[in-house]
Amino acid sequence: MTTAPGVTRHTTPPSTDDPILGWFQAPLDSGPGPGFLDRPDATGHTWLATQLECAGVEMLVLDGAEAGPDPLAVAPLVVAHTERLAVVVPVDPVGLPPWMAARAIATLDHLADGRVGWYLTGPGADCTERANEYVDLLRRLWASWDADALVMDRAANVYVDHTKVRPIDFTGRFYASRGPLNTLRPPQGAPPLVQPLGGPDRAAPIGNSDAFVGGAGPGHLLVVTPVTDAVVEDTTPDGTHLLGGPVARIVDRLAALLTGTGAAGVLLRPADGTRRGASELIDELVPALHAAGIGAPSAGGMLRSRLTAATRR
Amino acid sequence: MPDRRFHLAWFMNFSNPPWNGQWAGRDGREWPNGKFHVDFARALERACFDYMMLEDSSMVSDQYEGSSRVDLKYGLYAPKHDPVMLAPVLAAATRHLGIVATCSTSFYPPEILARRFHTLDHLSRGRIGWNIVTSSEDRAAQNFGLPRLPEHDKRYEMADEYVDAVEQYWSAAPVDPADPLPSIQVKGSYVRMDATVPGPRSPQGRPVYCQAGGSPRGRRFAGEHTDTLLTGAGSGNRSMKEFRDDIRSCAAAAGRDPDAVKVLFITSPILGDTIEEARAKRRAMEAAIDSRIESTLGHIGALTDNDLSGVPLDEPFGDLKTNGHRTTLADFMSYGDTPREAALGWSMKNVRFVGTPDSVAEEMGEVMDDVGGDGFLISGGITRRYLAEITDGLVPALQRRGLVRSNYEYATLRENLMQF
Repeated sequence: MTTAPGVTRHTTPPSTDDPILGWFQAPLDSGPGPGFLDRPDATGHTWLATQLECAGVEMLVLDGAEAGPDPLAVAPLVVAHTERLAVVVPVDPVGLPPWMAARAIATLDHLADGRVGWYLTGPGADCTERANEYVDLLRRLWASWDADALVMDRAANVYVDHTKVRPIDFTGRFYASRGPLNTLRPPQGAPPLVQPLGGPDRAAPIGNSDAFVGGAGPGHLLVVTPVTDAVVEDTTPDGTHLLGGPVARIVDRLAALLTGTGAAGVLLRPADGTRRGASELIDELVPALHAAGIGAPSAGGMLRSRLTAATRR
Repeated sequence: MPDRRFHLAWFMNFSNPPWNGQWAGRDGREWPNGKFHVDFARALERACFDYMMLEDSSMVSDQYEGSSRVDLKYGLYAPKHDPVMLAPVLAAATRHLGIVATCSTSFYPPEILARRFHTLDHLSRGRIGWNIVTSSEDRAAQNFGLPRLPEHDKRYEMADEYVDAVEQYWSAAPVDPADPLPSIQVKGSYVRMDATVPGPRSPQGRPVYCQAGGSPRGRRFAGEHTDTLLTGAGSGNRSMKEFRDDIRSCAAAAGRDPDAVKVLFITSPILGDTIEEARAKRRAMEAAIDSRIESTLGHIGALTDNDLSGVPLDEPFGDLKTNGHRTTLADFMSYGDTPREAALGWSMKNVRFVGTPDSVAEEMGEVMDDVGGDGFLISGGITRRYLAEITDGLVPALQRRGLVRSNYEYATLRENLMQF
């Protein structure tokens, strides 16, 4: 890719065998009293994001819960507080008009220098046809500007070359949008769709996802909830692997799971909504996993390249 | 001694700064990373501005020549990135400055807007404002799958209902965080909402309402709802006073305290080390005739859904109509009998104050004394050089005269805005 003179970008690390190690912040039972992620001013989220970044975790998947701070208002804050951590945001295809979603994600991807992913949530995500159409429309809107549309021709006094920006005239079964979008092409072209598979009730997975969360196939990101106070091993109906025991045992079992499934990586999903629970995983488990070659301290860069490298391994 | 203080705000959007001048730096390419706007917000905070207003629109215009050429060549409407995504970044970089983001009642689902501003008010600790627009361009509607926008006055009717719905949402948020979170159902003629309030009451309760709109229907809306109104009616003291007095009587008619609406007049001061230097700058701006005519006709055409590309520049205006920006169109046509005259006059219309920081500060104080209040919205080239002239030249000169604030006394935007 081209960069302007003087612009430093994190270069994407060469493809390695390292799987991705990320964090899935699902709605949590925090026991008595509000959890730190329920703080309406999102200071809990910024705390978590900075801790994850320090520990070298690759990405934070924000939850799509109806309570608590709005994830699309929290995401820019996370981006402002970090330099390498990628952030994956939920989008409700019933509630949020596609043009608005495409624009918000494009804006965020620019703010984050390409560290943004997204996924569909809510009942609309379970309707495969509707979800596929939404994804298709967002990608067409992002592609309505060529990557080199910004020409800045000083002699001709032309900022953007209009021949590189086109309407899309999209009319589908559920959505319509004329386009073009009014943002420059996002740094990643199309920010990656990192789609949770949800429970077994979910119909066919949303087409052309760049990565799947849950499930256990090649290219998937395993969701793992580590439990340190009991030796257990189980899989919940939504595909989350419960792994219990001492840290060394969790690391061993996780390595075996990755080898057995060919998955692209692991998303840690904490068992409770306390700072203590999060700290325990960040301070003890994450370094142990990195030491075992399950993920490596993040070098930053575009999320798409990181996912591509991990799914190739 | 009477308190002569008035308010200052800055008109911006999350768009490119001027890129083709001698002092443009590299921001023409790098602005999407937000750092230029962060620097801007910090400078405005240092100068104790009340707020930064982030204008917005939802389209690439092809009104001129049936092509997006002029829009994109000059960066008039597009590119323009989502101001709501920028607002948390600016809030994180500042502690006192108000941040006002534009969202359209015609396109934003009300439960999404209500939740977003609820969180933004919490994130900023009570410094968020909502610039309420109804949108005016059919091209924008088509991006949302609608053939066209409803008619002007009907959009305001819908906006009344919309504001009522989101206010129910915000006021239902419990003051005590331990209280259960309520559900809100609204079934209006236009607005439907079924949502659970996601958390406790935000610091301001609701965002500060900002609005620009000078049509009779827009003024009524302002009287009923708005906390701060932006207007281009800043060319002469008499028209400014008339406009402000009318807005205040609209507020009184709606049962509100007239002092609860702060009217800010758009202006672009031109500053120099000497008065002669400032005047020379103005002359240089006026000399750029060709690009001013084309970009102004492109701009006005896009705002009002009229293709002005083919109009003979030196013949009297034909009959122009619009379903939005009515005040703007009338204002534009008042600057001359022909498109050339109007474009040249209108494009310089915000230039009233030309001089040194001290001479302009003196003049601004006199104008405000005459008009009665409530302040100015600085608009113009968003270059770092111009920013420094305003924040480090003009503002200290205003502060020395006791005309603007020298520190923030309150935590929230609304309190600072209502202080004087």
